[in-house]
Amino acid sequence: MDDVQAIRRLKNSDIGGLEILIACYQVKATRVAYLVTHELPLAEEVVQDAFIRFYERAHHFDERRAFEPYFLRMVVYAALNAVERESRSAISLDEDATMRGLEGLLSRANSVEEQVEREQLKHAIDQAIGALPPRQRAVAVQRYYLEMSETEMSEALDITPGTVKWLLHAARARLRTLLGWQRSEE
Amino acid sequence: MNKTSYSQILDAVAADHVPNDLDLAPIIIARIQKGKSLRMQPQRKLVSTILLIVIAFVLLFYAVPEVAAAIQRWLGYVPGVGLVQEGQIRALAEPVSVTREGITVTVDQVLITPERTVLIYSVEGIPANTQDTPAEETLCAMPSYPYVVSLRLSDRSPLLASPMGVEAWPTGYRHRFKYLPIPAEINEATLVISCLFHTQPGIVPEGWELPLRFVPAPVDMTAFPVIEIPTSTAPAVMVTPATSLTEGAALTLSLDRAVQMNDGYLLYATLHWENTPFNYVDVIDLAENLHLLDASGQEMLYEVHEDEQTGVKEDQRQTAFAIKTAPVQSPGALTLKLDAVLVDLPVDASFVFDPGPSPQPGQEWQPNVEFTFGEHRLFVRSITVEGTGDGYSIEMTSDTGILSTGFVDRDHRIVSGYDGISAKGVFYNGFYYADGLPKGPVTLWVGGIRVKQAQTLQVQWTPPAISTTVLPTRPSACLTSAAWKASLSQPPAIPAGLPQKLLTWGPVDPNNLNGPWEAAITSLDGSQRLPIGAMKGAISPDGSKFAYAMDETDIQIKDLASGGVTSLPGTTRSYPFLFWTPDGRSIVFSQIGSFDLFFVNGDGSGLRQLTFGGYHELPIGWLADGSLLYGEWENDDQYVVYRLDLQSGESQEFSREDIQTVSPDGWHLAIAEATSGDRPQIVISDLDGGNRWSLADGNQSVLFPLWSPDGQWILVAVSNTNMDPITYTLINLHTCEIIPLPNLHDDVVGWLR
Repeated sequence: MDDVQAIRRLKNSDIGGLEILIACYQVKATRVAYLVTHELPLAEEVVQDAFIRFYERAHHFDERRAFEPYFLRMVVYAALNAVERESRSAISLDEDATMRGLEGLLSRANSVEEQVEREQLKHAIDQAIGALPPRQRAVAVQRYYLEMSETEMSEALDITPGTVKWLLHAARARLRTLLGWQRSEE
Repeated sequence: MNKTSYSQILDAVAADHVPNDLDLAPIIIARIQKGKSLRMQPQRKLVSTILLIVIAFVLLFYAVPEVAAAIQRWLGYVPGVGLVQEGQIRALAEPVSVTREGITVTVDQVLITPERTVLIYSVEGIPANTQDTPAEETLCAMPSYPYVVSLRLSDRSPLLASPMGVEAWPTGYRHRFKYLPIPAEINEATLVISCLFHTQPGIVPEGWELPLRFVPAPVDMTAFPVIEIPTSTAPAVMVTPATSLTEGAALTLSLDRAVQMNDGYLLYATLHWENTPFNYVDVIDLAENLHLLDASGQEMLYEVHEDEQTGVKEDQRQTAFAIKTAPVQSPGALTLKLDAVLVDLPVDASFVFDPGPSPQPGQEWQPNVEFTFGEHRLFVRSITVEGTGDGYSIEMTSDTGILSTGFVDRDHRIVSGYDGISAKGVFYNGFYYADGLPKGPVTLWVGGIRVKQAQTLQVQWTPPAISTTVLPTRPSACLTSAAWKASLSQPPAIPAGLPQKLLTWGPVDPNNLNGPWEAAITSLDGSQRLPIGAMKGAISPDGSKFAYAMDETDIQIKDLASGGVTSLPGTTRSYPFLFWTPDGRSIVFSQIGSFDLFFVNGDGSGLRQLTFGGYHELPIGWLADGSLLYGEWENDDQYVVYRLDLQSGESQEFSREDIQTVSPDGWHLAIAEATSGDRPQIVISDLDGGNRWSLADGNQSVLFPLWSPDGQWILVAVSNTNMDPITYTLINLHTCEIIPLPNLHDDVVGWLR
């Protein structure tokens, strides 16, 4: 059964349609939410809430649109809202992670073959993303994980295209700034 | 860059925390079947520490003689100072600061005109506990602890101040004072402050002295031109049904002068009641009763302005008021229309009240006295002996619209009195005898009743030309590599006259970006930062109100002075991108799930949908004619900017460029320019696309433009490359002066007037 059929079942008050959508997209959605929130319990609640919200409003959904990108954008937005208002514990930065920008880490991770080093890089990337401010983190997730274009990102976050560029730019700059702070504390 | 690989890598990163066998379905289904969507997380309470306290400006004019406005010739209107006459103007040579025990007193501005001296000083660093006292009467500014702020001139003669207004916050305040003009031959003075406002004696340093030096005002000092409006071109019309009490009244309205500002006009008008029998006339509820119409009859936005020229002038039997209009774009006449005024109708009535042989404090009588004045009725509900035993308090009601009145005893000496309104149609007054309560019956008189009088008065004036701030056409960019390096090595001082406060959004702990974030009022130089809430939001143009939105609650508006929060019904699930109207009265927002734009007044009234069928619409700015620019995605890939006429509800395509923001006067745009490299640019353009120029020469990244409230500067985020930290930077659009702000770390969201 494809998404459209599941959504039509949902529109007919058949909750089975929602179960199908949950089964298909819960993992991806929770990973998206995790990358934005960096807290698994909060990420799970964001995704639960997003599915419930979709359930409540499914009859408004335009079936001509693809469900997955629509839903994952909603999750990014909800995760961003959630993380911006929640207190989070500090995450210390791994020194290696702060030595490079996120793009550099991704690029390295893409090229290494050795499993141990790959695992280390994954950890560094995780920490580096977590160290970004939430909005820049959301932009980075959209850009590099969901592979959204800048126009799609600005649409999803309700910001102008120029602001998306700025946030991406700021995300990179923040990583660099964090590097400076980290070094100065040593 | 291999995007697919990046996605896979990030998926692997997330997979370490989110396993493939995740199963959320049972809990989601259970939540739905329980029939409620549980809150994601408890709402976090807003930071409720002491917030910005803005004490209402109190204008007191008892020390400086004023010349009648009618014979004055105005040189111009200086923001923060007001209308100034022709003649030499001097200013403070440079801001002066003195720091003692961690408290810094700074004289920010002094302006000396032929008719007065205006001084503004601020204090920062007052420990919060110095103002905590159960006995307010011991604080500086109370009679027991006088607050004297005088100017000691170089010939040792002191000038005493008239306070004009104070703005206070938990750790400091800013106070404006008016003095007599300092003689032209004196160019030095010392500001002497007896004690810091509202501090306890002996806790913080007292006896402050700051040496000041005055120089001729700079030639580029902002002074907006004043247009005197001849009476003959501003005919007043009165259309009022006469009543028994208003018969023969010849109340008129005139428009006296207009100050052409960057973002509209400051209009000064006068109610003339010289030829009326009224005891008193004033404007009332201007927001409701005063309408400003453009040439096409469309209602325009405005805000009420108060300064030394406004107010009731009983000796002249005139009442002056002023409004600041929204930018005027449509050519043709402006119409100022008053629907009602407050009048004190003369009456003369009395009744005899016998309190008996031994009235006691607190004793109350119900005299049940009723008066009829024309169509108005007045009931005296109660009379009470004051707790002090030397006066009476009288409570009255009216069912015909009397707003207030008062009784006095004309046969005995009265030392003071008061009046007030306790509820709609219920009001009171009281007075105290000089020699205690008189023995035996007293006669209480009423001489006037104040009512809201329906009174259609209107006046028209045609601005000489369409207002526009002409920005210089720059053949080359302001921000060149050389200029940028020079400004970084020797950052110029931030001009004192520039509004210093920003709304920012940043981490509570700057070293922990992953911790909670907060909105704050932050100074341009980053030295002062006052948190105002844990939610990102928008601040009203005057900085008095903070609006924010949360998922499941209505939009909240927090009054930063009182801390009171107003909820706007029907605005739940708003996106947090709220957009104030230029007059600070209303908000435009969009709701999750709808994507259209909505409008609501700050008091919750007037909620209406502005656009229909849109998709992810985002307000950008207000144009000179009061229309709204907003951006929208079409067909998921095309960004289109529309111009929305709020009156007609019609939207028209305006541009397909990435317009970031609109200048305060609504005539200029800052546009993010698509670039092939990694250095995005901002170009400045007139509304019609003319006079287009780039802020930078392309060697720096420039983004996130924010216009200063006066439209003369623009704040941008600048960096050399994508990997360098951003430095917020001021650029003067006229002089190209560049001022880096390296200590401003938070994201800048707004700039307060």
